[in-house]
Amino acid sequence: MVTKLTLAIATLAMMWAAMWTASGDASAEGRPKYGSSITGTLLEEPLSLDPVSVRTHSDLVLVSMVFDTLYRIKGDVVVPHLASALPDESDPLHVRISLRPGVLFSNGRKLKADDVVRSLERLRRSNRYFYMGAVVSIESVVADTGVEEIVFTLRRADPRLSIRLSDVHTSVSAQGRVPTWRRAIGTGPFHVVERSSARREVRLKASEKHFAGRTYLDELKLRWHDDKSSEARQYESGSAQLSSRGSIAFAGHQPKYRTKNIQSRARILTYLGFGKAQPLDQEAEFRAIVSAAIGRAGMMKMGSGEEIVPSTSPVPTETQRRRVSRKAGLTPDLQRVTTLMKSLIPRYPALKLGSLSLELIVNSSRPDDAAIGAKVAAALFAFGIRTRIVSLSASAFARRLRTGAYDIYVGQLVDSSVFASDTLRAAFAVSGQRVVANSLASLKTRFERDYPIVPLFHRSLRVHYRGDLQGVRFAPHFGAVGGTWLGFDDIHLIGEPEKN
Amino acid sequence: MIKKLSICTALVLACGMPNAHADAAAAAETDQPLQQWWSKMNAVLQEMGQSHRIVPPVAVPVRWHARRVWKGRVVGEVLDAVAGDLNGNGKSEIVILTSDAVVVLSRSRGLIDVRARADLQSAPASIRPRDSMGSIGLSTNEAGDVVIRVRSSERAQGEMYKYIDGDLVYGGEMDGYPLCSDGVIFAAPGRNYYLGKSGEMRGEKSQMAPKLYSFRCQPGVDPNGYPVTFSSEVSAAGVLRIHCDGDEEYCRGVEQEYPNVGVAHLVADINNDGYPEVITTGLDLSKVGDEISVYSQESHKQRLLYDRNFSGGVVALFAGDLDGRGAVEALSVVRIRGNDRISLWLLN
Repeated sequence: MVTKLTLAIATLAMMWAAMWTASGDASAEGRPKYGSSITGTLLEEPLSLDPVSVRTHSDLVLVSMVFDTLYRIKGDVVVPHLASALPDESDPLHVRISLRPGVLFSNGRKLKADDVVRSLERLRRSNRYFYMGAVVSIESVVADTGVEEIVFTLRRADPRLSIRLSDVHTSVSAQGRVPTWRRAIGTGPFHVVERSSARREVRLKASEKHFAGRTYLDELKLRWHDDKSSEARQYESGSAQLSSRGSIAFAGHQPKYRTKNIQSRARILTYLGFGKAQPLDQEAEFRAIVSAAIGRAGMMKMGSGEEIVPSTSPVPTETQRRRVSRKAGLTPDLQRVTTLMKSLIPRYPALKLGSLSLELIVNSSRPDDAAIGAKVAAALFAFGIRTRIVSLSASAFARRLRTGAYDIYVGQLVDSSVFASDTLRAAFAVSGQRVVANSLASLKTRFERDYPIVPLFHRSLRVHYRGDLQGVRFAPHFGAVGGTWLGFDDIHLIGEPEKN
Repeated sequence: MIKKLSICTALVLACGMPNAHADAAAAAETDQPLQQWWSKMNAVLQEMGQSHRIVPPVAVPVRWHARRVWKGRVVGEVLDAVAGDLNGNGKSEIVILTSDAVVVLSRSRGLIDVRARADLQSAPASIRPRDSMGSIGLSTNEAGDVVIRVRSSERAQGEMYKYIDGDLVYGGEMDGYPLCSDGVIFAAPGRNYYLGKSGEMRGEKSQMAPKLYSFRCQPGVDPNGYPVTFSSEVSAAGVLRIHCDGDEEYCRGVEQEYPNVGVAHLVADINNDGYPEVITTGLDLSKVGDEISVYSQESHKQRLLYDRNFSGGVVALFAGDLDGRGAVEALSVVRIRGNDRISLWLLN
């Protein structure tokens, strides 16, 4: 009886503690110190700093550090960021947002409403238009009070406009221009100093006059790695403070310094995209064959200990590893492959003859992708489809993607949106398709019919970091404990690292 | 007059008691940090001092034992808290500043509850620190009304309020952050510390540490009954420095430094023995929860009286006489960062 009571009390206490820690940070009060530089990690070589074309995890990390959005998610609420208040929706078809005064770009120029208008107009006219929802036009005005405002004209009322305007794709660049590595001018907490392909590193410095506060770090070096173990090796030896690919390179070792780790939710999608090298690549049925032929269960052990959730949908599921849905394509669907092949063989006899050969390209700066490619090749080989894996540098990979001269590629799409419909539209956008469907149900149906991409799995980000680093947390994501990318803004160092 | 005295007993230095045995002019020439301010303030209040009776304090037994006296939600993140008699009823009200609002609590029939709340009205700050910070100063205007001066780093300006008939009435904007009773200090733009050199009170520049996290000012009496004022600051290096304005020899024994101190602190004579108690929090940001330590600071001697760990962070320490019985109570505000629930703990 006593034991049961003790157990019940202990359970209640644990629930209470979990409740408090889930909704806040129980750490001691105090003020972090400024200074120091840290070396962190990127999941692949970054090629672009353009908010409009954010696609990979590296894009997301860098854009969110160099640029700001009108709103931010904090906990489960939207808070003004570059905006000075929540939208004035008194006229739901003409929403007014006032701009926070005194915000400066990294070059010292003052942010104007026109910068916001141009940035968002560029997004609205791009193939990522859907992130703007029902907005049909945007203009800047000066209110009677002298405050600059942005007026959004909407096709229909959108009470979630402020949530949309917290998405990283809506980040504001100076005069709405496409940022380049040499000229990436944003209002964000950091600015790019250098991107060195030779050192495989992007160096960022704190923007002294960032309106949301100067970051504690003076400098941030983010490195990418072509070799899966080099990141862990660097961390193990103590020359990097963070690692996304494990804390040790060799079994039995331990990192030089005391280590902690955190894990995001599984929201980074690894998928197969299709090119135009041969007509078959453009057949939805062929893409369905590829999807059905792959047993995703074999991919769950890939990576460096992070969570991997197999999926046939680009929309992340919140399921845990042990509860993966049957629809997640854990095993090959032989019946479906056979049926689909039968319908395709009349037009593509190579499928029957076993003479079909595909070129699968992978980005060498994402070391896991070659292994994923090998698993895909093995799965297709079981159905008589031969695949040649070609590993390309990030820039060559991007060039090939633009030309379409390949059959299949292993891609990565990071889910920045709160809305499942936008995630589905993004999946269509990476395949170059534009969908007009409005409802989530019709988008899902269209996705399952067209297979613009073949989702493989969603992975989380498991970051190992040195014990002297504080403030390591994932950027907030609406309705979730944490987003997918690390917010480096609050990271600071305390004292000397403790050796293992 | 009653209000002035009440504020003094509320230990948030809205005014200073006269220093009958200290020469104000001589003290003004001293290099002692902050001493010039208090001397000048004392001189202004000399008139009051003529009627002050020198009565040695009688120590009262104090049992240090933390117990929660209130928990609830406030709008925004708590930045500071003080206590002072806002309405002249002889009892201290608690003033809590959050990033977005000012809240007044008081004890009535043994229960503490929220009595008034006002949202801050100033425009958002064009540049703010990553950790919100703020300060509260209680002063008395010429009409004898208590003016609550507050500044949140989330706002472009400081603001003034009066507590009238249970309501907080907005009284306009002010520059800088309130420094004790009527001074101001400025923060480094976008950073989480105040610039000590920017502090100014009654026209005098401060001699505080170049970078500081927090400050407190408290009046008291020395063991002979002569008025003293304690001012304290925690520098960005985590050093608590106590400054004393009063009898030179007495102050030499009290003016000490405490290393490795967190932002929240309090220097106040809680047991009325003529020597201040120094209440500190820890500096270790990696810890879960905060630790409060209470020391007695007698002549050159520091003695640990009490310490206690809290599951949350201690964001403010302050003292007041909540029930008007003449006994000073030390209180702390404990919070979970990122959560708008706070709890008030009585420490004695």
